Amino acid sequence: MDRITSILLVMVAMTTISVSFVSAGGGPIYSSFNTPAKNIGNKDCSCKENSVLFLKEERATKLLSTFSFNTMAAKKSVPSLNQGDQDRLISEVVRFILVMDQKKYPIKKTEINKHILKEHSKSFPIIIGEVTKRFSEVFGFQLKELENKHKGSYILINELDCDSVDSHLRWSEIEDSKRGLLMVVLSLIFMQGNEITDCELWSFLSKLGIKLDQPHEVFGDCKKLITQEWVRQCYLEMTTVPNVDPPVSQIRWGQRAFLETSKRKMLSFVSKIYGIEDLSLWTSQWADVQDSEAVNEQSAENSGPSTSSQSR
Amino acid sequence: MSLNPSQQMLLQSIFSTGILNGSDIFKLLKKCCQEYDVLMEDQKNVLLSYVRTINEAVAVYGLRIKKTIDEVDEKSYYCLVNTVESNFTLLSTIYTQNELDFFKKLVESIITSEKGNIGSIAAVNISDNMSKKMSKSDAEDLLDRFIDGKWIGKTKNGRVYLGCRSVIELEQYLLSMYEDNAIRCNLCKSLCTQGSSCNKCNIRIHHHCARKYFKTMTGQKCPDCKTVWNEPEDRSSQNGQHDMDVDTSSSQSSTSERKRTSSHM
Repeated sequence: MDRITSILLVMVAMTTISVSFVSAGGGPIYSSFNTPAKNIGNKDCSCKENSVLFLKEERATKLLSTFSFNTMAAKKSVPSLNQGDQDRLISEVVRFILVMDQKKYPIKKTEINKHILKEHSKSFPIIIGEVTKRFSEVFGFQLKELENKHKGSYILINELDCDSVDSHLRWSEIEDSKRGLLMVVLSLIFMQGNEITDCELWSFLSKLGIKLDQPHEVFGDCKKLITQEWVRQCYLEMTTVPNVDPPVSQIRWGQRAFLETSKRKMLSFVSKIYGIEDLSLWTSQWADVQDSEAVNEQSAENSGPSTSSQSR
Repeated sequence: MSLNPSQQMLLQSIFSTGILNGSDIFKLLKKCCQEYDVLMEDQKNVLLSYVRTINEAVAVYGLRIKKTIDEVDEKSYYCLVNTVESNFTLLSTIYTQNELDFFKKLVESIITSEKGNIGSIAAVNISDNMSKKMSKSDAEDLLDRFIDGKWIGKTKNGRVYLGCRSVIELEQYLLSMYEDNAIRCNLCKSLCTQGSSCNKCNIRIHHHCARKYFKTMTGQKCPDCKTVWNEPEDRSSQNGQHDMDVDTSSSQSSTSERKRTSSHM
């Protein structure tokens, strides 16, 4: 067990992945006090709600004066929503995403509509645009909509460089260890040609002392962590191969993995372990890196004008 | 209102840890300034302006960086706190509902205790009164997690008290919910869960506030009713003695407790 821990520690130390966000300070505990406050006597409850409402109104008027310039364009297209309301909703959506992002599950448009926008759901496109801008300007995060089957879901990606060993972000020990294992899994998938079967993965992990049938000292239930948690967080994607018995699953990088790290970073990570400096020695992987970068550049050029107009 | 990358870095970092002590924040600030080649001549002024700018930017999202002082170790800490209440925080949390119920009960027993702290065994035993079952070892682990997060503080002798993060985050809630027990410090006017009290008029003062206040005076008198203040100036030596006594008893009971729990399993 010591060996695997030390391997993982090395990997964590060299890890190049930049996981975008960590548990929000204060959120979790604070929330516990919402329930009791509502359960204790109606008198208490109603006055609390009133004061919150009042605060909201007050805040809205305050916001109106400070942020009115942001909403000039928006006001034209959605006349039913006044500037104050809109700014209040924008702030609430930002808060909502910050809190929800703690678990790193993609945040669905429907959730935002259900919990925050409610009857103003129609304004979602305008609001989310402004929210994206705020995240980038204030928090240094990119709010990114996922594609394909995850369309309509959003994740936060850190825009600041957090690749250095001595990162400004801090995780709990267990989070750090999990990130180390994630790095191992992602690099394995990449080195094997971007796709592996679950059997291949399990047999590789068993060499590191990670057994599927017994809980791991550090990671607990590894199968659950890999096939549920990381899939839900969009680090991995799993598909079942049709018409095969026993069933086989293919595991690939998920969208978050592509956004938070890159094939080049992954190859340099593996090269460091092997002590290789020249990345092009990995012929097929190197070609893959260059291909993916060419595709990225192209898509950046295509979407370039639209994003720049958005940020303005 | 936007922030520069160096300020964003500081904000992200405080966000990720939730709380930083006075010396860590300067280390972090240095890192943030170096990373983006920001000149940092006067540390304190830079920190002040960073915190002010960040607070202006995040105020609309109900967040604020606040400075606070831990009542026991008397060090200063910087926390990111919520300033508004909203119902959706309920949905997402790194603690389960049951764990939060435990926390709520724990806060209640600490705040209603006479000295503002309870023994760690008593804290773990709160799990007996839970509507949903929680084992003693789970409760112990949970307590440790709260202590790690600075929500709960633990003295060397195993007494648990409200950590500075809880005090600052829950101040308004505690003051309104526990009017009789949650008392403000007579000097700094913020919530004081421990501190020392006047024998006559029952006002309470933080130890650190008291030290500052009495330093400027010749005789120690209650700031409110002007009776002679009984707390000796050198609290640490007197308390240290007292703490020693508690220490042995609580550690003994804690081992026996552990034995008992393990024998159950």
